[in-house]
Order: sequence, then C-alpha cells, then structure tokens
Amino acid sequence: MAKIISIHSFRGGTGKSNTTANLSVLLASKGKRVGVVDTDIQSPGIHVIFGKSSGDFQHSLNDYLWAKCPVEQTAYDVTQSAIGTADPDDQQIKLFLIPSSLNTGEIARILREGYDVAKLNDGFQQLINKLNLDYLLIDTHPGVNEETLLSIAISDHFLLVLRPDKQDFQGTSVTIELARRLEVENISVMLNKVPESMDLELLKEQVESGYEAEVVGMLPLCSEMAELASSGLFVNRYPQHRLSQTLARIADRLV
Amino acid sequence: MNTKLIIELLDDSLGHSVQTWEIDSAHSVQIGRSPDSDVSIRNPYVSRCHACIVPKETGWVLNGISSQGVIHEDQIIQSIDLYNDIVIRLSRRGPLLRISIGSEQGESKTDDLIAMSTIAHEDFAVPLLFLDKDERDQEVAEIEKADYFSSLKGIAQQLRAEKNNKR
Ligand SMILES: Nc1ncnc2c1ncn2[C@@H]1O[C@H](COP(=O)(O)OP(=O)(O)OP(=O)(O)O)[C@@H](O)[C@H]1O
Ligand SMILES: [Mg+2]
Repeated sequence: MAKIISIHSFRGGTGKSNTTANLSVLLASKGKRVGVVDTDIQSPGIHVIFGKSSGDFQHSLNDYLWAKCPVEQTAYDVTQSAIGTADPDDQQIKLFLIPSSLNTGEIARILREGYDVAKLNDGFQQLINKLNLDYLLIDTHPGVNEETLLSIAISDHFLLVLRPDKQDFQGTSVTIELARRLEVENISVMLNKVPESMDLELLKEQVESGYEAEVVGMLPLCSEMAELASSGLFVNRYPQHRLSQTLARIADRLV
Repeated sequence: MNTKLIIELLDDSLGHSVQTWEIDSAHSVQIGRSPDSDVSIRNPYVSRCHACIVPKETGWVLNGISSQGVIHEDQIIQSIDLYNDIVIRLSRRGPLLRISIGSEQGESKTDDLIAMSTIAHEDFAVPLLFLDKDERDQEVAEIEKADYFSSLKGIAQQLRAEKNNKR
C-alpha cells in the first residue's frame, strides 16, 4: 500500500524542497517507486534541485488541474539523473517528478481562480495507481491554505520542517495541532539550519515537549548546502556529510 | 547573614534550569525584561521592571512591582519571604523562576550551581523556544470553524477507510 508523505513548513525557506528532493532519492535508492509532487503552485521550485528547467517539461500539475491532460502525463522519470547507479531496466527503483508550472500566467490564474481541491486529491490517487508508487512525497506551499490542509489530511506521514527560531516554533505548533484534528497518524518534526553552536539535546527537548511530537532529525546549517544553492542533490554530492547521514536516518524512519 | 542568592530560569514543561544567575549582594536585586536588570529575562510576559528582592535582617523578601503580578502557588502575591528553592512565576503566562538561598549545609550544591552559572552566562546558544499555547489554540479554533475544514476531515476519513479495506 502506497504511503503519502507530506513535507511542510509554516514559514518559507526552511528547506522543505531540498529535504523532499533528497529524501525521495534516498527512498528510491532503497528499491522503491517514488513520486515527488510540487504542490507549491504559487512558488514552484523543486525541479531545479533535480537539475531540470521548465523547458524540460511539456506538462505540469497545472495542466491536470485545468483538465488539459491526465495526471500521469505530468510525471517525469528522473531516475537516471537523480540515481546514477540505478539500472534503467530495474522497475523497482523509480523516481518521478510532477512539476508545477513556472509560467507567471499560470501562477496568476491559480491565485485568481483557485482550483478544485478534490481534483488534486484524485490526482494523487491516480498517480499512485498509474505509476504503481510505493511513496508519494508532497512538497507543499508554506503556511496554511486549503490545498496544504488537503495534503496534510490525506497523508500517512506528515513531516514538519522548522528552523530553531521562535516564529517558526509558534507557527508550526498550529499546523501540528491541525494535523492532529485531521487525525493524521504519524506526525514528526525535523529541525533544519541548526547552527553548530547550539546544544542539540536541549533543542530537541524543547521542541519535543512543546509539540509532543518526535524530532526525527536535526540538520546542521552548513556552507556546503548553502553554496549548492539548490543546484543539485546534496546526498549525491556529499554522501558522507553529517547532513546526508541524518537524512538517511530520517528516510529509514519513513519506510 | 548569608548574602548569596541563586536564581534559575526554569524550562516550563521540563522544570530544569535553562539559565542561572548567581548573586552575591547585600543590596536589592532587580528582576525584569529591561537589559539593565540584575536578572534580565527576555520574555514577552515579563515587564521591564517586574519584581525585586530585598534583604531583610534575616533572609530576603520578594516584592512584586509589575501589574502583571508575581504568582506563587497559584496566588498573585504582593510580597513573600523567600525560602530555599521557592518557585515563582512572573505573570500568569510568564516564566518560572526558582530561587535558592545559599545555606551553610548546602555549600556543595551551591558550588555546582556556580559552575553551571558560569556556563549559562556565556551567550545562551539555544533560543528559549517559547510556545504560547493559548494563541495556538485560538488560531486552530479559527481554522477549524471554516466549512472546508470539516469537509476535508470527511474526505480524509473516507480515504483512510478505503485504504484499510484494501489492506
Ligand atoms: N541545512 C542547510 N544549511 C544551509 N543552507 C540550507 C540548508 N537547508 C536549506 N538551505 C538553503 O536554504 C534555501 C531554501 O531551501 P529550500 O528551497 O529547500 O526551502 P523551502 O522551504 O522549500 O523554501 P520555499 O518556502 O521558498 O519553498 C536554499 O538556498 C537552500 O540551499
Ligand atoms: Mg520549496
């Protein structure tokens, strides 16, 4: 049975997209069929981390939402570029990317007209069935809006990303509480951009006791990630780095 | 008389100390949000000048200054004689403080605390992540009231039921 994992943060720029992209690679590498959906229709971007540009895609999630094409046509196989070691014939390691349109007209239309949230949900289910996925990872728009709440509501695992920051901390607590009311079974927290000088144990304790949820990992604030500037997949570039190893442990927890 | 006071800021949910001030003084001690307080606590619920501790002939007395109040055992107090390890809260939703009065027998404990305070006085690396649960619950209630929230809840329940059937 496929698992839906939503990755969310209350504020922008916490590292959701990089986390989602890298986790998708780690999960697929375990011999899984994984789909990554960019539901951040207002400010899409995860495709960049996979080394893709909008010219590489004929269709986007938007086309499906406007009923211009079936949803499976918006999925792009990125297995070879993201997992170089994967055998192209191996059907058990697959990574698909479902991008959102970068076209400003498209973005404006979504903002103006909104879209059918139920259709988005159908799209997720069809992707799982048509692509025979083991995992569907959803990279969300920050904050709380209808489509984010939908992604939260239907997820088997809800992963919240936050920085050790007072505003992130307060805002994230609202999302966690909403996820509880939506009866999401697994809710966990990942801290990102943690400065080296911080006492990790103390930080973990504060977050876990405040949220009554588990901190599954704490990623360091590091120059390698900042310098990579979303131009590639961190776990491929720096597989031995502490950040990659922490992400690998998080991926283990998600399977 | 003994002039040593140890004031600890406690973690609200865990009760351990997150910052310590060791004060050796025969004069009064100011507690507040103002940076020039003797015990300066950067917390939105602490008033600039919240309370002060003044020496008496034997021991110390804590006087509330702020209209936000000082709370001891769920009562707002104006003034209280300090005893060893007394715990007070600065305003209803503010932080907890524990105050130890150095005593002859307690020297070893005091020494430990002094060692800790030296560490704690260096810039505090972990921010005090403060969660306002009332504010959170208010926001959650707002969102929960919206129509789409209950319909979402319905969709989610239905989908989970379908999934469980397939298993
Ligand atoms: N651990 C880290 N250390 C240093 N820089 C990081 C770290 N994690 C992410 N970054 C950087 O932070 C920026 C934002 O990351 P990312 O795009 O993944 O966040 P996001 O939450 O998806 O943002 P948005 O809300 O805009 O979608 C990127 O430039 C990324 O390189
Ligand atoms: Mg993003």
